[in-house]
Amino acid sequence: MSFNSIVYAAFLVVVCLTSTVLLRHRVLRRIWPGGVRRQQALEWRNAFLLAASYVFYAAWDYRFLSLLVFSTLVDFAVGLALARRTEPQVRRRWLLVSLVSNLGLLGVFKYFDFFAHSFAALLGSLGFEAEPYLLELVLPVGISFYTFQTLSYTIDVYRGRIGAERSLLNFAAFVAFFPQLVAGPIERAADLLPQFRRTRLVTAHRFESGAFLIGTGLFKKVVIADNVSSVADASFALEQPDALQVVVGVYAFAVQIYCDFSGYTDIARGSARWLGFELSRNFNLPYFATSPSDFWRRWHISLSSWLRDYLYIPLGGNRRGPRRTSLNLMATMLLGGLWHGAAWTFVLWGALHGLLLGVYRWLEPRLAPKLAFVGPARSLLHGCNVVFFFHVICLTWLPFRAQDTGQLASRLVGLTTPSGDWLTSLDALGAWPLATVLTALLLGVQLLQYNQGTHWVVWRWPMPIRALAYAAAILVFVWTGEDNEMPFVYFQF
Amino acid sequence: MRQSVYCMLLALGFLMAAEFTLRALRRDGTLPYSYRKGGYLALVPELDEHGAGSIAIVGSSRAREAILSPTLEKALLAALRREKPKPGGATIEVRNYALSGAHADAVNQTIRHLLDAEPPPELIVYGVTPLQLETQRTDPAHHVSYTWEIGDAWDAFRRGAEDAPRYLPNAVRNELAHASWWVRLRPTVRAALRRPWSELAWQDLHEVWQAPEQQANPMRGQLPPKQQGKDRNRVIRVGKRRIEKYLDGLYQEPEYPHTRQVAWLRDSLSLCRESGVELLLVELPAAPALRRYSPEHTYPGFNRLFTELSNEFDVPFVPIDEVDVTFEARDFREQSHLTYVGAVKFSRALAPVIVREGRLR
Repeated sequence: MSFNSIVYAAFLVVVCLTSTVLLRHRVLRRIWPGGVRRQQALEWRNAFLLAASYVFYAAWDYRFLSLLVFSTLVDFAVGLALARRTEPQVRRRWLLVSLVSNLGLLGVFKYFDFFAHSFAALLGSLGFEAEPYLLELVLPVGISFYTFQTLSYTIDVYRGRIGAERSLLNFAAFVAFFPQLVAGPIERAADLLPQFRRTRLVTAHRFESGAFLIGTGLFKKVVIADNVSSVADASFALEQPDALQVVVGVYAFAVQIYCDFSGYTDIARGSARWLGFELSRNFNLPYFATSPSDFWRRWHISLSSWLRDYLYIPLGGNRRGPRRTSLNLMATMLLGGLWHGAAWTFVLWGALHGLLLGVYRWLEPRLAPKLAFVGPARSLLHGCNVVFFFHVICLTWLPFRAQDTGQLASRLVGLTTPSGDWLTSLDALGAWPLATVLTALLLGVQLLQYNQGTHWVVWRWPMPIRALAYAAAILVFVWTGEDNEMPFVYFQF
Repeated sequence: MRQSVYCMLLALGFLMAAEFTLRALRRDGTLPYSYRKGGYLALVPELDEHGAGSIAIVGSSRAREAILSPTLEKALLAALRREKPKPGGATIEVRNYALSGAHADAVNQTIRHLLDAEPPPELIVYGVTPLQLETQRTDPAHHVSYTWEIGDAWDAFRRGAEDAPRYLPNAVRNELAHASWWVRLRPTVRAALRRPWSELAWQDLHEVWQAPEQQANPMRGQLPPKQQGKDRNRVIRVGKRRIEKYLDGLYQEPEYPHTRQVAWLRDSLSLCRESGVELLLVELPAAPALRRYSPEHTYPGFNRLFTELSNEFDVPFVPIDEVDVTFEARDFREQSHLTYVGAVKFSRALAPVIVREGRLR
């Protein structure tokens, strides 16, 4: 049940109507024989949300529902145990139970075959022939997201930042909450869990902004990402691309992955708003970043802050000198890369980001005093910085998108291969004119958002202009929206 | 909130103004005909705007290329005059709704739309081939879904097309396309936007503004585009290797004939019976090499199945041997399709068969 399907639209409408209209205390009190207490109504609502979330997940593959339930039960029990015990050693052991079971799940389902393959290849390169033992398991949808979410809960309880959740129902609903279950944002228990404990109101503003977010997300996914993806796919399918084909392909992928993932997040946030919840923002105009650390404050914010709080800082952060800081950055980003997928290309992607963070950390204090301009020169430098860093990020998308190191190598060779007739080169990439128009549209809107400092620029426009924009968006949606329901890129992680 | 509602209402107003402008500028709401997906998309607007004609041809591209509406119309009129002389003469409109790659499920969908047309055709000529009972080369719901309405999607899902929900957007768009010409024009606009340098894409967009009679549309009783070009009599030599490559994995027992396709076929026959529209099943010609190199059981099994269905549903079935026509090498473009001369020959030979078996009123 993908967010861009009509089945999901029907599901969302049914769930929202049932949860926010039928299961309201005011309604239940009147229709239920003997009346219903406010707390009881809330429990029913949460139980309904849990059931809906399980139905949503089972629609992907019901067999993996057991993993979700297992993860929920383990972390709920660990949370309670951590709340009861005060002895540091015992608490540490309980935390270890959570870590081992969650990371164990990830290890078995996501990484076992990758490491088995890599180990066999290593032995092979040393002259020992070994047939790797493979589990060949299907990767459960969203496993990387919900394991990180439940892990953050137990770690926060262990650290004493939040109290343990006493209601299994609330906790299970928090872990399985369907708008963010399969591709995030990875919510912190401190932010999301309390929302299950209080009465949630869907105000007119919430409904309106939710609808806007869902509409924006669908437009980003179905119109921009799905159309631009055909250009990226065509480019990466070429065996010997030339420089222009590689560059256009990687630009297309940069637009695709941003619109795909941020579109998903917008739909998730909009859906949650219709249910009375508030999810965190996962993207903040990432391609306007001027440095790697700025990029990670804008891109997949819930993951980067997770990695910062539960990996980078526990490793020592920047408190142990420049060398250790660089090492910590590299380790964090390597694991961040590996989190995305069990492949060396993702590890390389993580390593590149680790390297960039380290280099910028070293360069910034040295260059900043020399580049302290004022007035138009400062704006110009800022603009150049944004453009330059966008290209650096595009370069890192190469290993991220490449299916294997061979494909990556052929792209790198391609970058040095001069293009002949540019129109012939582009012709091999299919629908690049439409992709260009859609990218220009995205860039235009984002420039307005960046300059005005808000994501809701359209809402500030005079009504006729806003209505005209809506009408144009509907027409563009109908005309260029992808025929078939294409999966979201981040579902594979 | 109130402002957003007003905004949406105003946006709808803008869309309606755009719709009225388009309707004022265009003569009708049909789509330019093209092969593959374009044919499927053109079907419903065509029926909405021009009805089904008196004789409708259905089937795959082999039926489209083999039965030429203008030739058949003339031959039928002549044959009818011979058989049943009428004062003032009869009028017959032959329309060819056969679609590329259509298997029994897609033909079923075409027949459903034809039966819903106002008025429905008097006779449906169903050109049958063994390939229509295969499933190997089609995604069961993919092409068919371009002609779906929401009820059809549900029906297909109920009958075992598990991926039907994936194609629901097509069904929703088709429902909307009944009301909006802008929605109808989607494939044409999309093609032009995706490949603006492609002559073909602009040609379609240009055709939107052309008078219908200037187009090449077999659904409107004109010759199909391939039968009009300078290559219409071009012959590609077919050898054993090409046929083997073509037949790769086709017609293998026990999957063949596929039960789901047979079920769709049976459904088509019963739909016609229920609605009182006459149906005629005609086996389409295939190059001798294709018959020779197909698995042995293919054609006998195919004939047996259609003979059984013919008896069960009281629908005439005409095997190719019973059509009075002799083909030569130059009549086949390749193993499956006829050249223009072959198609003229077959269409002429089909007229007396239709008069004899078609129960024309």
